[in-house]
Formats: sequence, C-alpha cells, structure tokens
Amino acid sequence: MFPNSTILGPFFWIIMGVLYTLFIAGLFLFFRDNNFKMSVLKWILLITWYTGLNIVIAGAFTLIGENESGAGLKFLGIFGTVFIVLGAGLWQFIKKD
Amino acid sequence: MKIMSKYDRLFIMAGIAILIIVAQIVGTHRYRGQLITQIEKHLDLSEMNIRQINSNKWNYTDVNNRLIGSIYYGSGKGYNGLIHLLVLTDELERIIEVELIQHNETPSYFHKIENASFIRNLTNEDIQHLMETDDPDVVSGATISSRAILYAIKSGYSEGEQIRYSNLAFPELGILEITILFLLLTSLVILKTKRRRTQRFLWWLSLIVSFVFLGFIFNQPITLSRITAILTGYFPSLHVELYLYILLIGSVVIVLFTNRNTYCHSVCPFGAAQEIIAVIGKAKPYRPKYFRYLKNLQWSMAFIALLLALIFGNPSLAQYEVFGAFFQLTAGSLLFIALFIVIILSLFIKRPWCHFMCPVDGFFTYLKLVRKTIQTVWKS
Repeated sequence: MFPNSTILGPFFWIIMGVLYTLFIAGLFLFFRDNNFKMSVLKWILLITWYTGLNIVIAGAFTLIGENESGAGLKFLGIFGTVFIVLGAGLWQFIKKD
Repeated sequence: MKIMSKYDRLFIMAGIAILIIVAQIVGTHRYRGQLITQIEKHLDLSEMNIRQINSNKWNYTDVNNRLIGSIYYGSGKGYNGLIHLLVLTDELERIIEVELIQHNETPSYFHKIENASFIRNLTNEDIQHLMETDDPDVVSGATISSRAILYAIKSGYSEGEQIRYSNLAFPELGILEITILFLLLTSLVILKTKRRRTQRFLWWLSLIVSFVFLGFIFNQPITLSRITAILTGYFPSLHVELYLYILLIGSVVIVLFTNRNTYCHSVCPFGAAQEIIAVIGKAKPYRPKYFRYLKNLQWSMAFIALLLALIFGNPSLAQYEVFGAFFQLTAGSLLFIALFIVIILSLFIKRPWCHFMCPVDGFFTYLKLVRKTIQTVWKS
C-alpha cells in the first residue's frame, strides 16, 4: 500500500484495527443502551453483513487501484447497493424483539 | 382539490393528441429526408463505376467495366424502429462490409452488439449461406436488434436480387407470452376478488412472477420508447414480438374498460422490485402536500420526452426508465445513479419511481382521461 515506506503500512493497519475494535465495542454499547435484544443469530447475521460490506469496499477499491476504475465502480455500485438493501432488512430484523 | 370540468378534460385530451400528431408529422418529414441523405452520403453516386440496378441494389465495376461486387440496401425491424444498412459484397457474394446508415436502438443495448463484434463477424460470410441460416447466433441481451440486422441484410439481398424471402412465421405462444397472459388475467382477478387475503396472495404471486420472468429473464416491461415507436408508425414484427402486443393491448384494454391501471399495480416488474425493497425497509406511502405538483411534473417530463422523440424521429430518446439498469445492468451512468437513488428511496417510500418519475404512469393516466372524457361526452 505504501511502497516507499516500511512504517506506514503497519501503522495503517494498527489504526484500522483500533477503528474496528472501537466500532464493534461501540455496537455492544449501542445495543445495550437502546435495549435491543441481541440473539446469537442476530450477531452472526450482523457480522456476516459487516464482513461482506468490507469485502465489497476493499474489492472495489482494489480494482480502482489496479487501474480498473470502471470495474471497481460497477462492483461498488452493484454489490454496495445490494448490501445497503440487505442492511436495511437486517436493521428491521435487529429492531424486532 | 379542484375537480376538472368536462371541457377542461376535453381541452387537455385534444391538446395532447394534437401536439403528438404535429410532432409525429414533423418527425416523419425529418426522418425521410435524413434517410435519403444518408444513403447518398454512403454511396457516392457521382462515381462512374457505381450503377443502380434497382432501389435495393447497386453494382460497382472497375475501370474495365468488370463487376467487382454489389451493394444492397436493406432494413429490419429493431427494438425502437427500423434498422437501415448497406451491405457491400464481392463478386463471389461474400460480405465485405456491413454499414449501418440509420437506427434508433437504445445506445446502451447497441453497445452490446458493437462489443460482441457482431457486425464485424459477418465479414467474409457467404450471403447465400446467410440466407439459408434460420437461427444464427445473436447477441444475448440485444436479441431483437441483432436479429433485425440479420433480417435487414437478408431482405436487402432478396429485394436487390428480386428473389422471394420471408421469415414471417406464424406467431407462437412462448413462455413470455403465457407469463404475460397469466399476469394480465391475474390482475383482472385481483380487481374482481373481494376477499382481501386472496387479493393479497394473488398480488404477491403476480409481483414475483413478473419480477422473475418479465424482469430478470426477459426484461420486457412497457417503456415509453416502445409506445413512442408505435406512435411514429413503427409496429414491431408480430411473430417476433407477439408478447408486446399482448402486454400493450391487454393493459390498455383493461384501463379503458375498468378505469384501473392494473399494469403498474401488479404487472410491472420494476413495480414488483420496489415492493420487494419496500418490504425489506418497511417503507411507508408518501403523499406530501405538493403531491399533485410532483405528479404534474412527472407527466410533463414524460410528455416532453415523447414529443422530443417524435420530433427527432428517434424513440430511444424517450427511454429514461431505469428498468434496463436494474434487470440487465445495461444503461448509461446517469440512469445507474438514478437507479441507486430510487433503490435507496424505495427503502423508505413506497414505489418512489412509480409515483414520481415513471413515464409509463403518464401514458395510463392519459388513457384514463380519454376514457373519462368519452364517458362524459357520451352521457351528456
């Protein structure tokens, strides 16, 4: 990712790790504070959805980085939209008691 | 809300009809002129070695008056109108070049033909062999256009050589036609059924069938460009597009007899797509105070698109629906952006495309207006 630096690469991933940890920890707090009843199934679905969304974003930007902007944007547009719609469905499911 | 008087209705109905007829006349004149100019542009008739044999054939010879080859002009019925082309052959009747001189196909679909090198692959093909081939490879997703190109070549050659050729077979009922008949009949049953549960079950059944078959498998919803093409006097071939006649005539007849737009309610595949997304997002109906103005804007946009397409003699200009982008991932960038917005809105609002943007809604509303006007005049 950073071909001219040995420190920026690991540093980037450390920051990403921190952000992800904060996000997941924040999710726990958010669900607890808003009295959501989170079952194992809900957590599995949420983690699957979130992982999928990350793969879509990573995949799309990898394609853009490899000078395949058209493919990258199509990938992001199609699967990104699908994941947004699925996310809305998942949100309705999580809200349900 | 102000209710329209019968004179208002008559005025609007006649005004729209007159404008459509005027645009149609203007477009027809422009179109004819353009076609002749384009043929002349492609064939430099001032050259001494090109000699016209008949209205579809030209022979070209070298300086010693030896025949080098022929040029044929033919046309075939495409998606939005006739595809006109010239075929250059050598003395052995092998195709040297196929040159399109005019077509009205939707650009994003026509790119598929270009990307598949469909026309280029016809080079060196023996035209006699092509005439005998019944079902050559066509481009997936642009079947009608690619078949029209082949038909144009064949008809140009047969008319140029004055031999009998016809691919007019008896129209057949296929899966698409049967699906459309099922959808139209179900929409009528939904209208007549009083039990809400049955109604709801049939409605969802209809939506899912339409979503899968009319949307993803065949991608054949009613579009403004198809309506415009018919208004320009272009009638698609019955044996190739029987489904279109069933769908259009069926939907129009239902509106005229029942005053209910069942096509948008339970037959349109994109309506089905929005309903499915609405279920996922638990969308709610949205009727703002200025709903009426938004509807007028929606219908005006459809009308302007229709008039422009008629004036320019190109029905594909009226195609601003997002159906192709959704079901076939075939459209321009702007339509993809519009589709993204529509999908996101569909999560919160029920059928945003149908209520605020779809031009086909304007067509059916106009039919309802015609029905109402005729009814009022008849009664008085």
